Amino acid sequence: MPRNTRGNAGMPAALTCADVRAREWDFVEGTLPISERAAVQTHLDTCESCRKAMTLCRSAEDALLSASAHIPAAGDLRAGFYARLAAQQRPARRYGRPMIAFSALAAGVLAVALIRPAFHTNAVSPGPPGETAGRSFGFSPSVLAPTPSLDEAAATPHAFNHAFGLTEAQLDRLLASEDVKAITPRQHRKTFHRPVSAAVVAMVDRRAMFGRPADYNRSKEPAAPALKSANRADALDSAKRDTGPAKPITLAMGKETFAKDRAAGPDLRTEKTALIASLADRALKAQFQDNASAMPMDDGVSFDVVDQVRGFSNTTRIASDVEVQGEDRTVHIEADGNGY
Amino acid sequence: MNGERTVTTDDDSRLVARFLQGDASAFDALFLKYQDYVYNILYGIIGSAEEARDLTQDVFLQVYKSLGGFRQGARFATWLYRIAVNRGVDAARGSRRWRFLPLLDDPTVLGRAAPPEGEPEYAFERSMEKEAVQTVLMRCPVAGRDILVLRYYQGLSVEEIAETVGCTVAAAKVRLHRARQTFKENYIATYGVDASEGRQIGTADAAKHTR
Repeated sequence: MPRNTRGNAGMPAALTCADVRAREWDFVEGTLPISERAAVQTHLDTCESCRKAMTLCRSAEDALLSASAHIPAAGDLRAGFYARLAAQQRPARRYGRPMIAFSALAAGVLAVALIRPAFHTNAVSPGPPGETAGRSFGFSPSVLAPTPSLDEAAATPHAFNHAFGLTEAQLDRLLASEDVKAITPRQHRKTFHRPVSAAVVAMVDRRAMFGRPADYNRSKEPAAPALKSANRADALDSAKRDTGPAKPITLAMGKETFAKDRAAGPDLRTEKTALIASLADRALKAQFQDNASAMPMDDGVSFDVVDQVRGFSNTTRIASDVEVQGEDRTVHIEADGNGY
Repeated sequence: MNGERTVTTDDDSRLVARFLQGDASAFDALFLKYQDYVYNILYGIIGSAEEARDLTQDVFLQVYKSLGGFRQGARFATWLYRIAVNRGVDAARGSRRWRFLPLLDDPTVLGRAAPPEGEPEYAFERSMEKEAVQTVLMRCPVAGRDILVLRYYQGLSVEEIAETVGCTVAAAKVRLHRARQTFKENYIATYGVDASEGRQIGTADAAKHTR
């Protein structure tokens, strides 16, 4: 460090207030070279306002230095970690009896759905099939895709896939993709929460119930029909166009495009969530259709659906409750989240 | 601190190598060794012990999955801290807790409402003395908070901070300086004159801080 050349020999140079302020952190930290330290000290001896500023600086530094002593103890987190690791590595199907996955979009939505055992018959749907999902579950139709009826879905080998808006190949890739793996369950304190990833459960359940179409042939698989709902259609567009091995539904936010994507964040999240929600929604219906004996499921299940796609961590807490009156089952779904 | 780390770095890469060869106990050792560090970073950035614990597990899950891509020769600790910082910053930005973050002039900041039910340790933390810094820290922009946490909670040098956040040493210095200034302003805004009361900068005081 060169000697301070601005001063006369043996005398520290006079520093201006600005000089001193620029050095205050170094001074407080004790990292200032000795010669400069003396000059700062000289200035402080005569300058009231710099002295005050330095005092504040020092108390801030002291506060910061002492802060780490007040961090609440972490405890040993290994048990929780291994539990979650195991939960991730286990197929979602094993989470117990007929798994019902819900997702909802709007914060504070209380949705009430009337569901009959013969849910899949069109007689239950007063309007066009597409509107049924939106209305009965209180989801905004502008966000959720139109829902082909399950009758319609059963009519052709690939129709069920199309009801999900996915081809088999896309489902394969989705199940294998990091994107889905990234949707990790999150245990929530105190309340009983099943560690569930709605999308994974929906798709795995779907596979388990219906399997692949018998004549599944990847190269001949027809494309999924165009979906009319803007958001979800957009979300799925990339999936349909994608013929490569990676990212079927990846609303990808790679590191390099992070900033850009963050700007577009809300839309990406909406699309992603819309997809998850609609998959979960259909899994729910499929469950009711196929597992009428499993009803009622009045166990007040509540989930955290956490969408952790590279930096977006959103929690939607959903509680469900089922009322049975004769043939009718009323499902109350309460969603309390940040609405994405 | 530097000497200490040089020794452990070697240890770490051996543990990483062992884990990659399928030795689960090696990962356990890494977890045990670093969980507090990761947790401290996350706590500093997030400000909630509960969530920090949760995110610590997230970070290790991520590490568990991506350790294969860890470049041998890089320092494990740096790599880990970087993941933790990114995770914390992302969570702080995306978290719905944003809603509960008080504004600077919010009168409820100091007379904070009742602690969440059934969390006595939380209530304990709430006492002003202990909360002070974290409260102020939570008002600083996330971009500076991470630097302050690395510096003061983690005790990293400027060089280590630069390596962790992936910038030059000069840039780290600038960011640290800026973050401290912001912290100081928020600190004063929160605690006002009290912050400096009863303290005078004098020769004796200054000498005490000469290291």
